[in-house]
Amino acid sequence: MLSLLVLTMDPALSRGLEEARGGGVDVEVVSDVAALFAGLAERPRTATFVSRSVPHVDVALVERLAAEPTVGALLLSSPAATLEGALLAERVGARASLIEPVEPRELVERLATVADEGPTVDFPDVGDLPGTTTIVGESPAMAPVFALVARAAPSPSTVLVTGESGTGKELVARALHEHGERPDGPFVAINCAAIPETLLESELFGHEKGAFTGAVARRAGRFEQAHGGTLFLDEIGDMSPVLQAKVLRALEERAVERVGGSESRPVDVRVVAATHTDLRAAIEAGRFREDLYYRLAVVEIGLPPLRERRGDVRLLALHFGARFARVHRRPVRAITGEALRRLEAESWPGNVRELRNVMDRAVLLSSGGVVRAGALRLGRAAPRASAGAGADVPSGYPASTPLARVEADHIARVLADRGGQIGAAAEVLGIHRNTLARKIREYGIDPGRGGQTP
Amino acid sequence: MRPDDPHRLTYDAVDRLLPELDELRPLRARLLAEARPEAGRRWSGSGLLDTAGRWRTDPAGLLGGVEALAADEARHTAEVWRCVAEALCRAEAADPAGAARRFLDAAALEEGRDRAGPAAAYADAAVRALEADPIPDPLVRSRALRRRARARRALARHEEALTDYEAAGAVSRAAGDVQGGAEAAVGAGNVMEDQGRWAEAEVWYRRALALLDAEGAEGPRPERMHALFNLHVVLRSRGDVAASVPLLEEARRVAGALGDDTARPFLDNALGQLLMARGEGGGAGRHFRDALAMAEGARARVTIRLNLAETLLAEGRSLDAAEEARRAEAEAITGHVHDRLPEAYRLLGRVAAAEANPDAFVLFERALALVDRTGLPDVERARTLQAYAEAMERLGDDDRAGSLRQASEAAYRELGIEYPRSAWVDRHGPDDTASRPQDHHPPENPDTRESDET
Repeated sequence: MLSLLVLTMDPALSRGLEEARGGGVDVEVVSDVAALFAGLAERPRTATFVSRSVPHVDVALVERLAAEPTVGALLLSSPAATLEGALLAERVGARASLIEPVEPRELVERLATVADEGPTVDFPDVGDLPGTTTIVGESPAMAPVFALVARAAPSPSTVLVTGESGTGKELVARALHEHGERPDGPFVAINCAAIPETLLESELFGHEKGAFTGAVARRAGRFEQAHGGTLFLDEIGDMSPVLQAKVLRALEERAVERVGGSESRPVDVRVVAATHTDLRAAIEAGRFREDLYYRLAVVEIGLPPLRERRGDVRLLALHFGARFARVHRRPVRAITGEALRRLEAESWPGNVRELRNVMDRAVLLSSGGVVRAGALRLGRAAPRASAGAGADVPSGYPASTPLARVEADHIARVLADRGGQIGAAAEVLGIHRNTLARKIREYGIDPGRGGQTP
Repeated sequence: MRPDDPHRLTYDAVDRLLPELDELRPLRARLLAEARPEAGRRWSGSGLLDTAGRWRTDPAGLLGGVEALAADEARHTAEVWRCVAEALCRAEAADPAGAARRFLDAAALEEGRDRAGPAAAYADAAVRALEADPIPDPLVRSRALRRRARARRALARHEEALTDYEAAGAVSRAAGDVQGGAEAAVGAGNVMEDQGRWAEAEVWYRRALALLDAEGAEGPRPERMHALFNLHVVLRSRGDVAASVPLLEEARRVAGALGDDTARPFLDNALGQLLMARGEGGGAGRHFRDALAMAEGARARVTIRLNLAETLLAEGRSLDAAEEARRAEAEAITGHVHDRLPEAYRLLGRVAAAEANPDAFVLFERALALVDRTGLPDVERARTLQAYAEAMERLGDDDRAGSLRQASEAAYRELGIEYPRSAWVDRHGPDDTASRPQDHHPPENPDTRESDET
């Protein structure tokens, strides 16, 4: 049975809800904050409705309420539509922000919508959680990956892991290390794209004291740090030709020379490299050394993008949900069927890392112990410092249309698409929510009405 | 070419190519505002370490917008030039005070565009215009000196700024101009704070209050609000949270009585920091968001964004913290608030370290390079080294952490500051005031409130 806890001082709403009792809905109406929390302590609710007109219902209380594990879907109401109210509802992940007076029928309909998210799916038990370095996946596309990892791990061969950004190349490298010949040795990673050329050589090979300004003490590089273990060279395709030559020499001679030093230091490391770029094309273009490529790609493991691992989205979502609930110490234990359906319908250009980030945020934004569809920040536009329409959207406006009109319409459309959620719309638009809030105000858009312009 | 194509120029590359000309600032700002992360890197392991400088710009888009940018610039230039021409007319009419006022108007216009260099030059012209007057108007002279001091402070020319503020104070006091004297004292306190000289800053703020009290000016005055607010910041940052609270409350009361909405972002920001010092992250975030919604100047917005990012990081929301820090970075670059950039990079570095990224050092190195290149106060170097050491310690690189800590301690010692407990305390004040000494703590980052001289 659906369970609705209502905090209101509106007698008409209380009376109307009395009639809803017995129709498959368990309704409890309370009129003060203490009774509300007592009701929540009794049992979990499908949804909790809170009128912000009730004394002592302030922003802090709503935020506290949203963190209650038994609150279910949070529905808010206020006497007037305000930007502040919309922002609060968005921030705490409220399912709706209604304008008073609220009709009993509307509330029951909202409850039905909440229930429409389908049965919830529990996250795996914390005790059953795989380690953070475990590759999660059961889809057919992952079978050859697991087979290659199993075959390559016990050998000392150099491995090249390829795949789009966010597919989990470092996890494969860690798996090769943990199931290899030297799991007790160090696993040392370095991202060659993140480190400026001027620092990368010293990071890889170390330096002697006084080798350059800032070299105040001698220091071992990552090759030496990985001695007896595995060195993971991520984004090796971004390395300069000069450093490529030095890495090749280190691999061939199994020794390194620190910057500013003359002594050759032997290193015993297994190298796993990774890239999201097409190294063969880079070789053709003269940007990557062919000899280094063949030295690295003794075994090549290609990771499929998440869009080709359909069955795994659900598995990964549950895995990340459980993990982030534990990391953030949030009492979130399940996800609705609708939320899972939406996750599975995404194309995931950022692959597993993008899904991971979506679940990280969803756990933080969820109230009532369950991740609902509204808590998912999907379709994130590429971050940028200002807004702009997607290049792939045809304008459809006559050339005489003022830019402001186009912008207002686009904002309204995105708001409607995101159910009036300012935060979600701001992310799609690639602007900060404050900026969007300002534009909503300027253009007179009503976010509560699906983003209609007057 | 797609906007996020890897072959597009990065903003760093643009920065290297373009000459350091003030008139190119709108072009730089537009390029950065429209820049986007490279598609392949966005979700890669290096994405977390990306800064706005690594984003891809759109020169072709700039080409299309040049006319509009130029028209906007022409309007501004015409306004400034009108002031200059009128100043010359006043000088010709033997009205040095009138000439100075118009030069000060030009300075205000430039300051409105965050252009401290030209603002300082026009304020300097105002000071020189008054030198032609055997008996210069003391109110105008003090105002011109304060305006020049403020611009010089923004340019990190601290000694010159202090000299100007001291001179302005002397002129005002001699003329019985209590308001001007108090404003000059507050300005001098701000300069001290910028350099980490808290105790001296406190003396200046108390001097401002004493001036106002001596006059019996207990009513709502902007200078009183500024002095109270800044004194609150200093006391809170030095650890005396309890004593600082009534000052903030009084500042808020004065602001309310004045009906000064422009003070709200500063007061909300201070409230947020106070709550952060008390470990109330949720409430702090609310105040920072309110402050951000009201703030207009680039410096204030960058400062508030960094505080908000700090709150998010403290709540474990590292993804959101990084996003907010990147927004702060972009606004700091476009608004030429360069002295805040090291803090943005420190924050991003701390996020990367919190995410166990072994390449987090890149961001601290970037901050150090910026401090060296731009001649920021030494306290910025000390803070960066300290945060760098803490991050390396967190990542388990004890050797590097140790040498960085030593360097940080030495840098603080040279400034006459005892080594602080943590970078967090440095920014927001401690949470266990009873156990802490009350002197020689590192400076509050200057979330200061200056008076608006018109």
